[in-house]
This record gives sequence, structure tokens and C-alpha cells, in this order.
Amino acid sequence: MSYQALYRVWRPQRFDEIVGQPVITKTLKNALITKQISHAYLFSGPRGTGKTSTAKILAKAVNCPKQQDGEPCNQCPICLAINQGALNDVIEIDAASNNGVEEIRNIRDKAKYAPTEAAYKVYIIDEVHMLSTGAFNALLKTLEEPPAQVIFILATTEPHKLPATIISRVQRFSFKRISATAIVAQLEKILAAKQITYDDQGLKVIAQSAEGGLRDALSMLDQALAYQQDRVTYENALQVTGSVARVELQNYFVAVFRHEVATGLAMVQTILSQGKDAHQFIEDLIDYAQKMLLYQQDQTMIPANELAMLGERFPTMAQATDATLIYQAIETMGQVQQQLRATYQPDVYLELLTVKLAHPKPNDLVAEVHQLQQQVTTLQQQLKPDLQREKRDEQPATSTTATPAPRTTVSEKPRPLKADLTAIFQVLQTATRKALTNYQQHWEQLLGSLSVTQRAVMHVSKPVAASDQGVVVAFDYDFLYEKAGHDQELQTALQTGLEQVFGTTVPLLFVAQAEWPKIRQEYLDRKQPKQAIPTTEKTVETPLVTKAKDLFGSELIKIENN
Amino acid sequence: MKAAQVLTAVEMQQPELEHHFLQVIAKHELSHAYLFSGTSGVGKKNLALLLTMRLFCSNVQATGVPCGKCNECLRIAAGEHPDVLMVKPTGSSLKVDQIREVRREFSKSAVEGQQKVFIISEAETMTTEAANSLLKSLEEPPTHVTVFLLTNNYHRLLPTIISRTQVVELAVQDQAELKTKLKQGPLPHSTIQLLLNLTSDARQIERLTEDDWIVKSKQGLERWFRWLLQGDWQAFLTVQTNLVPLMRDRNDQDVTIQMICFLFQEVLQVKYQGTGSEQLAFGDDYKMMQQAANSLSDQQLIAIIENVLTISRFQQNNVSFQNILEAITLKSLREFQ
Repeated sequence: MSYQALYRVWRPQRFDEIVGQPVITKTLKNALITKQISHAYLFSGPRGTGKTSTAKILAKAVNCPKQQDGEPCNQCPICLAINQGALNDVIEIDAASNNGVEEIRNIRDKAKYAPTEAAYKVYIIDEVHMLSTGAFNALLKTLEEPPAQVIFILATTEPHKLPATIISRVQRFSFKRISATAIVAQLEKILAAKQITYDDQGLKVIAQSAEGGLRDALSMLDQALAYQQDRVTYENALQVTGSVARVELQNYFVAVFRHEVATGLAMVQTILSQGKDAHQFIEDLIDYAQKMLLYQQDQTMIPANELAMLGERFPTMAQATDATLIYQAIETMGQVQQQLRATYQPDVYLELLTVKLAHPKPNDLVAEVHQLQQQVTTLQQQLKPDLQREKRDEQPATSTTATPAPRTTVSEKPRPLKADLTAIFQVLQTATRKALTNYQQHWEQLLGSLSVTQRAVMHVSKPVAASDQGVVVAFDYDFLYEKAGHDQELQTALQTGLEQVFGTTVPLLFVAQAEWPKIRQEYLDRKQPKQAIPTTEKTVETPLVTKAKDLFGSELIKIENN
Repeated sequence: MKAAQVLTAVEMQQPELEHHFLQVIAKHELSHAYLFSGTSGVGKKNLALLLTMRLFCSNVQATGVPCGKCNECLRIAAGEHPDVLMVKPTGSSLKVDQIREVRREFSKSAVEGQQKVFIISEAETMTTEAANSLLKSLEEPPTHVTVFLLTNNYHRLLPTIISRTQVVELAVQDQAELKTKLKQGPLPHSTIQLLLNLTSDARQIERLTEDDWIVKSKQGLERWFRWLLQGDWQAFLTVQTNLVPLMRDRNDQDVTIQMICFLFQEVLQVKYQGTGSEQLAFGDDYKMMQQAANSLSDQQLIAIIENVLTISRFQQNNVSFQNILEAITLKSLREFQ
């Protein structure tokens, strides 16, 4: 008989033996006792938390004729057959390799037949997240209302990959990570049964690095035992898990917090040359930093025996170090941990990490906040007069800009170019469909009179409104609109062209196509209240009007409310 | 590779692990799945082969070592044993079909003896589907099946796979022997230093030293770095004129990126540890290294290295090599100027 891994030997056979999932086992047992078994279950949770084991126990418990308090007897022929995987009515399917629609159809077809020996036919579909979409959908109907005496148990580590329609048809049990204490207790139990002595600290290291998976812990224990037969020691556990002794972690932190980069780098280099795992190292560092934070908050959070292991300088360091520095360190380490996953050169990352930790970015958050505050205040002050002005502007609902000769304004306006609203509105007031059609029809002809480069600019333009007083031309692209607006030569050429084609010269007003609907809307909006509030307009002289009067003299200004 | 070569190679590279595993096998305590993790050239494959030979060998020596001469050993080393299945990626990844084949083999009984061994190389290249379909078989394989997964970074495997195996990390052993062998050759000291830092795989070294590739590309890199140091745009051109034409294949590109990372790593060491030119691979022009170390502030150096690392990861995503180098150049130039 060949050797069996610990996690296979110690696979739980009863609900009581499942470690760290009391709520789930209790619920299932009660369901069995009261005979309220559902037809479909979903067991989800991280690796090594007991999903498949629970599924197998459940399969036994429903079928065991001598079931007591919800536990299978593990002695009757049915239980034994299930343990050996020999019972035809308990079917374990690996969804990762049978993930197609065909396999699921097969299940669906066979589910119709009654169980042969046992009371229930149990389908355990493991790694169910790997089913294809088609397969999931093929399963839906069967899962919703399976034939009597059929139970489906789905197990997966990645429940988020399951369609919601599957999840809503099953009773879902979420397995939790097993706490380090529970893992240690289980390891102790196994070692006691094997009559092997152990160091408490060694088991703790293993439990810590198992990250809540009992199978991981047992695999590591297996390895530790392979290295040294009769005893699980602290050093042994460190070696197997690739962890670094806590004292070394302490020295590392002392070095980086004192900004001694050289010492820190040398330590990283030795640790890596010992064949330690970079991932585990960072994991340990984060854990150590977390303990420092805990200790800072409350010294009783860390039991005395653990404290001794963390190194003699731990208490002073934990209290002397600024909490924000530790937070920053943890954050930096977290980032590096992410990056490590995809690289073959962990040494560069660790060395970089050391430099980063030893030279934390100057904590300029406070300064930054201060600066931002100031910025906000200045901006607010700048904004205030504007706001007031706008308020006053709003009341008469009037465009008070009255600028002379729209043609010159269009061409001479500095960047960024703004459409000359007043002139456009004037055009719109008298715009006619006929005029527009006329211009549209002859637009190509007009463009024909331009030079090639000019034509290229105007090619994306088209007249959108026209009257005797002017033509509004819209440009598809903003930058061409800008270009045309600033191009005096082009405008002169256009005027000449207009005269040739239409025999008249009217001002051409440019707008960007994107702006056009807004302008038109604005025009319509203003047009309506015109009749509504005729009284207030003259009484208020907005700063804009005053300014305009200053610039052009009051005799040139005509204030219109349109 | 010959059986005898495998034996000597393991004896040289991983004597401790060899001893350990031979003991485990002698006690019949070999687990059903192992994950050997270590950089290329540390002897993962050889260790797996040796253990397989030990399992099958018809004439195990008193020391527990397989003989390396019997029919079984010879066939295993030659990859011709019907009960030893070796799988390696076709193309860039291990596909689900290959793993399905493995699963089918799992369920068949051994052709000659009582046991079967599976050696899956470059396991980190398994596609998600492939990895998942291996899960169930890996958890509870039939009796007398042993699986060796080999990988150069086990963290890239699914956590569910890792938790089903015993992870064995193979550390790089003393490179003294390799070093003395290289020293007899014509290569300068610094180049040997660089080579040993890049790999400890003899075959890889052979490939890199062919036509003096390593010397040429090292020179190219140094020229590039000198321009970079001066904040000169010439560095950008050097990428296309000096570096890219040197690349013969994908492996060369990977090594070059590794070399760039290593170059900056050495700048780091010079800056903080004052490492002397003797221990450096890029120490020929020590002044250049010192200048780089002194002229950059902590934050600048951190920023540069971070950039280099981030950008070099794109190589795995099949971004064009020239683009990667140019991106590194442009980003670093900003710090140097």
C-alpha cells in the first residue's frame, strides 16, 4: 500500500469531524433529522475548507439506513461503498473536465432513472465554476425540479462565476476560512494520534501560512514530517513554509525604520540566498507590521508567549514607530506583493521595497490638503463676482452684448473662438427657409471659387441658417472652425465668392456643429420670455453693458432684449 | 540525456534534496503529488527523473541511488518508458487537451509494472481550463501514481493546485563549479558575473555565449545606459540601432529585459551598499555606475526601477520588444534629464 497524504487519510467522514464550519454542519444535520433535505445545494468557499468532504458526508448521511442524529454510520454497506467511491448512486463529477453541454445532457437523461441501491441518487459536481455557459443553462431545468430522489450538490471555489439563475435554484452554503487556532487544534489532534511531538510555535507557523485552508496545512505538515520523522520543530516549520524567523523580521524592520538601506538590502540578499520564498517573506512582513499596530493599540492583544517570539526589540519598536509610517509600509508591501505574482525576479522587487520602506515618501498629505484648501479659497473668491454678475444677468433674461459689425468680430476675436451670438441671433430672427435652401444649393459652387487649401478647410462646413442679414455656417470639426475663424484671407475669399455666386455680400457667421443645437435652443429660450418681462430690462444696467459703453461709447451701443 | 548524466547532475545540483527524497522513498512515504519550484537550471527535471528512476530501477544500489544502468533507468532517462509520462507545453502553454490526455492515462493501469509517474514541465503555463481539469485527479489519484509538477514560479499556479501538492523549492546551489568552468573560457570576469546572475542552466549559458552574444548585448546595454545617464535622446536611437538587431529569438529578448532589471539593481547596490566594481556585472565602467548612483535621488531611482519593472512585464503580454525598450528609455530619460 503506498503512502497516502495526510489530507487524504484524515478526510473527515462525519459532520462532527469537519473543522471550523459549525454553522454549516449543524444546519445540514438538522435538515437531515427533520427530513427537510433540499434537492440542490451549493457549497462555496476557499480551498481546503471542507466543501467536497461535506458533500460526500451529506451523500452518505441521506442514504445511510442507520443514520443517527444526522450522522452517517460509516459501517453499513452503503456508507462503505460510498467511502470507496463504489456506489453507483453517488456520482462525483469533475466539472472541470466534463464541462460541456454533452456531459450535462448525459446527467439530465440519467437523472430520470431511480436509484438502484441507495435511497437517493446524489450528484456531486465539483469545480462547478468551470462549466460552460451552455452546460449551465442545460442544467437549469433539471436543477429547478429534479426527479424525486435526486439531489445535486455543487461545489466550487469561485461562486462568482456561476450564473445567478443557478444560484437562485440552490441552497447556498458559504464555507469560511478556518481560523489559525482551529487549524492548530486539528494538527495537534493528528500529531497526537501519530504520537509525534511538536513545538507549539512550529504548528502556529504552519497554520499561519496555510491561510485558512486545512489541506494546505496538512500538506505542509506532511512535508515537515518528511524532513524530520519524529518531531515538528519551529525551524522545521519555517523551512517547509519558506518563512523567515520572526527575529529576522524584527531586525529588518529596525533597519528600514532607521533608514539603514545597506543593512536592509544585505538582509534581503541573505534571506533570498537561503532559498526563502519572497512571497512568504512579504506575507510575514505584513503580518509582523500588523502585530506592531495591534500592540500599539492594546498591549494585551498579543499574548505573552507570542510576544517573546517576536523579538526583544518588538515592544519598543512598536511603540516608538509612528502609526502612519506603519500604514504606509503595509500599503507599499501590499503593492509589491501583487507585483511579485507575475515575476521571475523577486530579488529586484524586494530590494526596491527595502529602499522604498527606508525612504518613505515625505508625508506631504497635510501640506497638500493645506495647499488645496488655499486653492479652493482663491477660486471661490474669483468666482464670487462672477456669480453675482450672473445672478443679475439672469433677471432681465437678456443678451446685452451689442457689438458692432459682426464680420470684424468674427475675424478678430482672439482664441478661443466664440460664436458671435448677437449676430447669429439677428440672423435667426429674420431667417427663412427659402434663403437657407438657396445657400445650400449653391454652397458647392461657392466652395469652387476658393483655393484648394481653403476649400479643404471649408469642406466640412454647411450653412445651417440664413437670412438677408447673414448666413450661419456650421463646422463639423472644432479645430477647422477655429482655423476658419482666424483666417482673414479665407473670409475675404469667401466674401468675394459670395458676391460672385449670389450677387450680394452678407456676413458669414461661423459656429461649431457641436455648439449649434445649443445656440439655437438658447435663441428660442430667449425669444419666449421677451414678451413676458418687458418692464425690468431698462432699469438694470449689467456690468457687461457698462463695460461695453466704456469701450465703444454710449452712442454706438444699442441695447436690445432678444 | 543519459541516465548517468542525470545522476551526476542531481548529485551536483541538489544533493540535499536527493538525499531527502531517497530516504522518503525508502520509507515508502512518497506523497502522490509534488510541485518542484525553482528558476530554470536548478535541476527540477533531473531531480524528478532521478526519483522516477529510483521508483522503477531494478537494481537499486545500497546507498538508495538508482543504478543508472539497468534497462528501466536508461529508458526513463531517454524518455521512452511507457509508464513514465512526460508532458510539456506545446507552443506557449499547456493546453486542456494535453491535460485530458494525462487524465486518461491516470485511469489506465501501468503497462509493465505496478506504478506510473507523470512529469509535467512548465506547469505555470497551464491554461485555466487545463489547471482546473487537473484538480480532481491531483487530489485523489489512483494508487501507485506519482505526479511531479515542475515550475519556475509556483505562485502563478492556481492556489487550488498548490494546496493539493507538496511544494518543494529548489534553491540555486553553489555556482562555484560553473564559475571555474566559465573562467577557463575567454569571457571577461564581469560577463561571467552577469551570466551567473542570469541563469545557472548550463544549456542556457551555452546559448547565450554563442557568437559572443552576451558580450555584444552587454556592450550595447552599457552604451544605451551611458546615453541615458547623460539624458541624451541618443539613448532612444540606441534601442533600434544597437539593441534590437541583436535579438535572435524570444529568449534573447527575455534575457535582455532581465539584464536591464539587473543593471538597475546594481545601481541600487552601488548607491546604498557601495558595492565595489569587482562584484558587479556592469562594473567595467565603474565611474558610470557611480555617476548613476550619485546623480539620482532616492525617489528618482525608485521611480525609474518601478517603471522598468512595470514596463518589462508587458513582455509576457506579447507587446513588441522594441516598444518595451523604447518605453523604458523614454520614461527613464524623464528622470535623468
